[in-house]
Amino acid sequence: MSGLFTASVAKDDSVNILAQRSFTMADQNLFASLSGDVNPLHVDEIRARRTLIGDVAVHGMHTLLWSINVLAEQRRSLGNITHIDVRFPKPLHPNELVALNLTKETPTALHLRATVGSKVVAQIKLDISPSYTAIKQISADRPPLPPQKEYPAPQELSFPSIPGMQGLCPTFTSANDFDRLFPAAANLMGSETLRTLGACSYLVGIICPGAQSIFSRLNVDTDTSLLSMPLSYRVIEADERFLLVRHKIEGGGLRGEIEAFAPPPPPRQMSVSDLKLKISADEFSGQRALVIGGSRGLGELTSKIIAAGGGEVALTYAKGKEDAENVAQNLATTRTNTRILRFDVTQDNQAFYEEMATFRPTHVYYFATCQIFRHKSQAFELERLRTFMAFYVDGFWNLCRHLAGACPEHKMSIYYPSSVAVAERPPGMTEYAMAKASGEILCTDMDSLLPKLAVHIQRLPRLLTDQTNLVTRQDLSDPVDILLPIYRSMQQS
Amino acid sequence: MNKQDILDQLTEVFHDIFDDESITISPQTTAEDVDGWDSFNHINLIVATEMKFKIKFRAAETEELKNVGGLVDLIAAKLNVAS
Repeated sequence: MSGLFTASVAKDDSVNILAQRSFTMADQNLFASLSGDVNPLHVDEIRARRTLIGDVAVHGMHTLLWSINVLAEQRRSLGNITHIDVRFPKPLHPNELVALNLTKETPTALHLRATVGSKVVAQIKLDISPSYTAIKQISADRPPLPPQKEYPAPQELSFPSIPGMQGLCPTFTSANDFDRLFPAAANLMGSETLRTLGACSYLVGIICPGAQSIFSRLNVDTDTSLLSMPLSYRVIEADERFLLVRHKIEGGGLRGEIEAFAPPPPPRQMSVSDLKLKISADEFSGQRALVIGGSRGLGELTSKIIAAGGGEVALTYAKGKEDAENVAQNLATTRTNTRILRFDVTQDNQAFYEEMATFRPTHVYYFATCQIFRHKSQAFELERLRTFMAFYVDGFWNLCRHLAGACPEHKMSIYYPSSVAVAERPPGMTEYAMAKASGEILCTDMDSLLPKLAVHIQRLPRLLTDQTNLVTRQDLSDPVDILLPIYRSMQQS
Repeated sequence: MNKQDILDQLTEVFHDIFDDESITISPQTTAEDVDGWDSFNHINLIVATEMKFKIKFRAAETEELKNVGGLVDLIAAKLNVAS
């Protein structure tokens, strides 16, 4: 029960697979343009990594509409769908192979489960009428609308401002545009209702909770008498305990409720000016610090700590150039120079090492990481272990080896952040703990492998970063209180 | 209503949340015994339980739960059910 989205193991539904597919980024952009839900979580690979989910996620409504479309293609004699209850227990990411499984079928109910391996990404319960009544296509004669050039950006709402919110939910395309993407579902449910389901995505991702949101559940009746009404919404509960928002919705052929989480925004690391209250202006003077992964999280904080103490910083990023520039802008308030460099542990970094030969770092802080809490589809994933090893072992070794070659004449202090997970073994983190343990062994042997490097290892507790910014409240230590003593010790050694 | 009644109704909540009518629970059942009972579904379970029994838990109460028996006891206390 600790930590959001830990691994789960579902039953094997493979015997009832109706269809399989993966969603591409092109699919993401298409559904975003149809629904208007252009939340970065769905379309922006850089900004999505700073969300709670940590990577681009497929729109839940896209998964639902695809599922209904598959069902309608394969069950030609279905009655009308009178009720939809869908939950999204785990995120589905682009390029993951998702299987749609039929888990229950009675004359009046169909249950579907969308899974990636054993990871359940959607649980869909449909109530079906005994016979089918054709649904009037209200907008069948309307031509498709041209694509919108601009969509409203997601609202940045504080949780206390959410209770009482209400309004109408706009649509951005003709209902016919949904026909083209989901023809069988449109034939079964009517294209207006499909467009309304798309609008539900817009409601959650853009209006409320908006920028920080996770669609959790849609529980609605279908009602053709509501087809000509615009979709209206009203927040009926904002549960602070779980940061859970419940909407009552009505219109566009649907009536019911939506539940969505409103996780906190990405944490902001302390600024240089605030750090200066804790750090003497010259306690890191003389340091030329190379901070790998210095664009966010603990790497960002490390860059600021060293700069606040008078050190010179070269910080690297792998993807988030804009994030790195923002950090450098904050560092510019000190009188030290800052370099921004691209460094990707998974690639050749020749130009980077050439620059290091001139920078000649005295200290190196290694915060290169991949996403730690990504949802697993198996209890143990070898590929996941390989990914962690690439960052925490191979990448670290290659960096040390090249730096030792680029700057052969002087000693370097290197900080390797290990984790308490090596000893505590939190559930679902076997691969992470294994890779960090391997990294520790490598560091311990570094004295003989690369004698010019002095490697400092300390196991860190879970600290507040993008990756630990969960919906459930946690008591996390202040990262400054943990890191600063380590860096002071390295400065003195 | 006694604790067995609570457990029976709680079983229905589990069936609904996990969409699996084969799930059986006992007071000793923990999150490790039920496929998919992670912290996300824990929230779903708590919210659905509150709706089923028309009660509200405090956040601290839900964080301290160790097993289904603890949840049954908590519900019983809210409903003033004698043990």
